[in-house]
Amino acid sequence: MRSSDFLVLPLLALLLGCPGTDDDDDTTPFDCSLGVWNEDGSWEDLDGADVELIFGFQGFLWISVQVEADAGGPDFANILFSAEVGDDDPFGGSVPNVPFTAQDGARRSDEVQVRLDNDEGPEPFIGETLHLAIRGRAGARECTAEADMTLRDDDPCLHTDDEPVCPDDDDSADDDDSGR
Amino acid sequence: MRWILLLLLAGCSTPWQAEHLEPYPNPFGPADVGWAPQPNRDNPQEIAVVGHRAFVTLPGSPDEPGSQIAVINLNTGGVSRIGVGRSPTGIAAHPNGRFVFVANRFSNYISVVDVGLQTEIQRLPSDFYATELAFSPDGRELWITNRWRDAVAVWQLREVGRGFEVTDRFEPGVPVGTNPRDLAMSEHGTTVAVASITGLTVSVIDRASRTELHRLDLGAPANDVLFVGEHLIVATTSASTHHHAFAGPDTDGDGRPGDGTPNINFADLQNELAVYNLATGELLHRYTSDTICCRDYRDVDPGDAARLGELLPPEDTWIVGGSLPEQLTWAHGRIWLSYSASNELQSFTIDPEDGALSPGPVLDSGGHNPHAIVGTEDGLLVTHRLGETVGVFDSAGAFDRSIPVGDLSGGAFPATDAEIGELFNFVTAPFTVDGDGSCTHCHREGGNIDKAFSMPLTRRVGVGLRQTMAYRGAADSRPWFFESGMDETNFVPVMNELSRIENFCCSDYTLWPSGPPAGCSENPPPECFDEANPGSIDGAVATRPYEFAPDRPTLEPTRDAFYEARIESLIGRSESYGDGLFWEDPVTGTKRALDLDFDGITRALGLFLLQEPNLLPNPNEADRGSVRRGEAIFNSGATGCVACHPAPSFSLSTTTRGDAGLPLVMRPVVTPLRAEDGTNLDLFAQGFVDLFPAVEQDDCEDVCGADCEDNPSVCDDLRDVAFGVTPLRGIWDRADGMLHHGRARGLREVLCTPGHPALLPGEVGFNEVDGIPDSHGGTSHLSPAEIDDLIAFLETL
Repeated sequence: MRSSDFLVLPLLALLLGCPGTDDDDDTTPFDCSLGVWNEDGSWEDLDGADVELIFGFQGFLWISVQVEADAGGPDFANILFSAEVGDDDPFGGSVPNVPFTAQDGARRSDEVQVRLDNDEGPEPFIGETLHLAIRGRAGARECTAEADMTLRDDDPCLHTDDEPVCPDDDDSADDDDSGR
Repeated sequence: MRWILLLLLAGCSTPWQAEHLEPYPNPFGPADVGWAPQPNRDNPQEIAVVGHRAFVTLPGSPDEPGSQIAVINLNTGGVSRIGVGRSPTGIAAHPNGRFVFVANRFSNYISVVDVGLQTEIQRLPSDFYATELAFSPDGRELWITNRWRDAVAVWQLREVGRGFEVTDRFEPGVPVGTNPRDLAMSEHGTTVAVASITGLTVSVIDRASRTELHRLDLGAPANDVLFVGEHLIVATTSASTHHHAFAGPDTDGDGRPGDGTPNINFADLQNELAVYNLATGELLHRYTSDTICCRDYRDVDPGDAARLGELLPPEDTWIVGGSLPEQLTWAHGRIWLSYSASNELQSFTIDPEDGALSPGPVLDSGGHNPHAIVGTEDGLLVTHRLGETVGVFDSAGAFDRSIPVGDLSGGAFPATDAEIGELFNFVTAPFTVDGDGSCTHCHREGGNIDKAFSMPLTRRVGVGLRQTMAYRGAADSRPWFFESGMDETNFVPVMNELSRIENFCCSDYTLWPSGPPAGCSENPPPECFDEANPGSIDGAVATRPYEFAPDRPTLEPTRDAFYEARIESLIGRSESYGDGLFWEDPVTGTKRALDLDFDGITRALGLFLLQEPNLLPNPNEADRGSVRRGEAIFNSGATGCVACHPAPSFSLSTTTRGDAGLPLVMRPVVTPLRAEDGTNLDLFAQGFVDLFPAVEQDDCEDVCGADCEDNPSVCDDLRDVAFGVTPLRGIWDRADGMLHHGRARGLREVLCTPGHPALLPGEVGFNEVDGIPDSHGGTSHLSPAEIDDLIAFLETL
């Protein structure tokens, strides 16, 4: 988001419709899949792909994914997800009101963050297969998608602020940027 | 003729009628994910003992208020109920021993209960939100704190037959700090002390002249007050704002930056007892709960000269043993104190000469969320506000038994996943690494204390700040906090502050930058017991300059294990019930309960905040000319208020508005908090922005281009952050400090442009951005009377 967008959002909100609630029993399916929008502008399907595990703020771990629907997809959807790594118990969460925007004849969601248990750091996840399943609901419309992806760690640094802190960066731990 | 005259006179006055405030409708309902039916609870709160009977108020919650008190026969243990007004809170026994008076916060009267008849015999008209009561020793005067009026009222009473006549009313009464709750009268009735839980002060009032002698500024909520001889004891928390000692805004008013204390963020949150000289108002002692506990950068040791450890309170003052000093009493020659956030009690002896306290052992309270503590002839009684019971103790504080007085028909507390979250909210300390903090330290009774804190989300750790936000009406402010970036499942940086992950050996990513050794949890390696924590890394990289004490604060090797062990010890289970908190397969719909680890407890708390909004019903009369005029101003295009603050939550940045593509944020509408060099102290840590995609902040490169490559902070004076729109519903009850930085004092300062004629002497208009007025709605054209009308309307929301 850039600064010029800040003022536009409230006006957009007044104009946009509502996706409704999550409790409709008579749902109409629509197609969706899991992917990610690469920095070079290309769309990458996540099923069978590698995905970067982000080691970030306060040691939290996550991956970011997006949901693609066809051109008739929703403006917003409530996303329920479940993730399973190796033999560990699946875990999950939900993200309400995820916006979808038109791109290349499809509708693609904003970033959906899947936060992994960081109790023992990122190491146990590297190289493991993560099975991700999602359900998107927009009023009476619903889609499900699943993907298997391999967790990679091309960037082992900890992204906490402007400058990453890397395991081999001996100087990093001696800096005190505490403002004093 | 005489009859006609009497009829005319009768027609001129409206007979008083009992009225009751109605709860706000709960926006979280069966259609919402996670909703589940909740058991009714009575939340026993205050106690008055008369002879062999104990009278206990049962206020319920703001969403489901009760209208009864319980009566315990202390000889038999039998419990009966008496109907009173809505949401009875305070209770006091009349000195004649034949009546108890009950303050009903959601009714416009005080109930008089005949002890012998065991029934309400009289309703004495009062303002709504009468909260706590204290009689003069002769029983002829009643002092009443009022949360709505921010005042303490004084009634003169006369016994008439089997009841009372109020012969004189001094109302609203003596102005005191925001949201007064507890009060006490000195032994001989010469002095009254009133504690304000939101306003962070104690008012010491001369009873005869009804004038305030001292306004004691605690810098922290005043939870209770107690007179002991010539001394006034105040139960409170730490005055710190969690900043560095000498960096950032001057939050302790000493003319220097910072808060004057070396600990930062939640490690700076302590539990305290203050002792004052009653005659002079002089602070004699301030005891604290500080400890050397943690393996993260926030906690400073007294011997750490490099980090100003000498500024810590002397170690001989570290005698407060529990979390959130809640209620005080004098019984059996000692001061007794309940700790609501740690399920504990403690007693103290006091030196009558100098007021010095000596601590007794910390004791188990025998139930969840202890509140009132009172003495009986041979022991003590303690209400368990969440446990729905009253604990019975001997005179040494040994627990004997619990007597159910509340509503346990829905099962023992906690009986649902939302109630597990409620337990964590109020009894947080067992889940913290230092045993000190709780959610309710800052969100007292679900409100927001009048204090802005350093928070871990800011770019300049220990320097920036955010005003505490109210928990009440959490659904209205969802996504949460000023940034509108977090929701009920993921406010993990705040939770992390309670028990930072670096404190758990196998979770410590600073000790094991490449990951802990295999099997660390099951078989912790020697480093877990003898290695110092090398530092903390989250925007404030810091190392301890000396070998830290080897003992880690907890035995559990990981944080998840710590959480599961603590919830298991509290409620006998370590997974959710599954009624509101569950994992669901998105494809098959299969559901199962969740482990109550760090993530599970975080979600339980989020669920509670949605399930129980706890907005206090609004007592302000909406059918008034000023309110109608104010509403028209609010809705006018000239002010533009309604564009960003539409009903029902009076915010755009909330999911209660129909899920219109939220969250919504916008550039600052008031001048950011800035350092002397112009640096915007509101800026977020980049890691925080990365963790929460909905959070918005100008990128350095977009503002200053290539210069950022050499210095990422080069444009910190030009970059801005985006904030959500604060919901206005319930604003009548919030702290005076407003806006994201808490600098505006009340709605007038929020609304007025600089120099606006409506401003009172000394007030500052905050409706401007860097000198450009009307940035927060057009108000410069409004007259002072119109500003008053607008405020009158806002206070009815």
